[in-house]
Amino acid sequence: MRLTFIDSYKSEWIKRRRSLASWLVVIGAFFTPAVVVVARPAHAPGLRKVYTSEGFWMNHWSTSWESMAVFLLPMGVMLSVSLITQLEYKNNTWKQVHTTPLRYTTIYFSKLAVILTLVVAFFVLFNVGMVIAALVPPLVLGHVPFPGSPDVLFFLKENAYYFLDCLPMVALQYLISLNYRNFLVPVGAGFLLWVASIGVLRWKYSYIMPYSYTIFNFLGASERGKAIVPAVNFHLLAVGYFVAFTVVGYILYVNKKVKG
Amino acid sequence: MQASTYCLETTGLTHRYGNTEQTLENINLQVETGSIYGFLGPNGAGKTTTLRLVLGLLTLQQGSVSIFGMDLWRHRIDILRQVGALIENPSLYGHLTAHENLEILRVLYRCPSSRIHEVLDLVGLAGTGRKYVSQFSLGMKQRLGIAAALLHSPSLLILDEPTNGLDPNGIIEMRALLRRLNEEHGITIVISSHLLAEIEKLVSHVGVIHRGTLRFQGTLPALNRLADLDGTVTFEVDDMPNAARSFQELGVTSLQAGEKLTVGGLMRQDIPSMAAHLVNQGVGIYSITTHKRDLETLFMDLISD
Repeated sequence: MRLTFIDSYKSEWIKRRRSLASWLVVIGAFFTPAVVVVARPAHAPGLRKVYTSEGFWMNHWSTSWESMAVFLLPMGVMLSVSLITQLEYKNNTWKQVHTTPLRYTTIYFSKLAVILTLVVAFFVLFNVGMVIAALVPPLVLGHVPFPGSPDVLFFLKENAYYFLDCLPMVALQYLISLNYRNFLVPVGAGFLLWVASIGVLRWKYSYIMPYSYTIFNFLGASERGKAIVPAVNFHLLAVGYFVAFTVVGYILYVNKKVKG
Repeated sequence: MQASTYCLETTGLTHRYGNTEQTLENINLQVETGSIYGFLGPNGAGKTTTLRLVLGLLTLQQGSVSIFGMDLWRHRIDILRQVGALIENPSLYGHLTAHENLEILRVLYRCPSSRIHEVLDLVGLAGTGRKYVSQFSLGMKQRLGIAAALLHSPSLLILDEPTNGLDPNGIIEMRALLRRLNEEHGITIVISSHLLAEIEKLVSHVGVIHRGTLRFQGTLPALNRLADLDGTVTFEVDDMPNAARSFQELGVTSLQAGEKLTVGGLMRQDIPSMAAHLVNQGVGIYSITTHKRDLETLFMDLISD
């Protein structure tokens, strides 16, 4: 069973080669760092002060995550999860997948594992991009010094939180994508949920919206933002939603009457 | 486990899509091991639905499916390990090459890498290199679909209208390939088509389906016999009254037209004895002409309401 899962994972991994979802992961991960790289030289005179300040890495981290946590990460998850799942509908390949000697459980979880790997790849590339973006000005502009060492443990912890916080989106987008042939359904549903999450951000029960956790994690880092963040452990809620959506998605998938 | 003579057997297969009228009704397919079974029927007759049920792509509503003597729902994985399938249009990833498409399956079936080259060679796609499948012609996709079905050397091959999109030369080549797979590797093949002429030269057994019911099932010779039956034979003779009397003695009704006597309801194998009887009665025979229904006509009769 374990070997079959690995085989199935390998097989699924081949499918994402050159796919739009893979490109989206790479482009999405480097988008914000690229904007930072382009924008920094415009403020060249003040960069020396920025790079010598003690809170350089924290500011850089916060600047980089601002658009990512609120907009790019939710959009990236919506699109890439839907695109990966839609590969089977688009190519009319569900019938082939379901006539291979694999249990439906294996198929469901190996696909999900590939999606999660892509999310992890996205985080890794984004962090690499962020570090590169920080180092480009000192390398290119002679008068800008290299910054001090970053707090790696803090970054790892925050990355882990962001990863947990985006899991409900991954699982729900996966659930919807598996059940609808039309690509617009999961993307549209995801977008509506994201808009709704932003709309109810100041509501005291805003934590029930599963698309709001990456935003909460970002807001929680600043004093002003902290006021909006509900006093609940939303990381735990994110994991709970992820498990619930994954189980519901699995039940719906296994019980589908038409499998290709 | 009791060994079954049938490689594939369905019992009382009945299926309905939503609230529509019955799509399939009591289909009892019996595909003998080592045979090439032609599953014939016009478009919309229920061929694809039957094959999708056989492969577990549709949930069984009524009836059962047994492959290699095992129940499909209890032994789905064991069965699918030995089955290759091509249902309707080939299932291929357009953004990948032919090699990568087969690699997806090779990993699952744990075949050696060399097998990919073998099957690509077999279907004439060895030279496609880095070309993406989305750039393939329909015929090339169809051949790649067959390569995918053959990759793991299955014991049973289920092909739903595999000649769709193939040019006449491609159809002939595919027929030769399937015959070779059957004869040299003993692979049982189920091939569906809406054209009898297309598979008549290939199959050993035939099942004819129309409006969700199986109208005929048996060997190709049995279908031929059915075509012969009710055919007519015309004898051109030198002594008409004597010939007519001779037929009467045998209990055969004949119809006279000029110098010819036409007899109905004869089997092909009855003709030599009938001719011998006439000669023994002193009747000279100038010619014997058979007017049997050809298979195409019989097929059309079987699928007419």
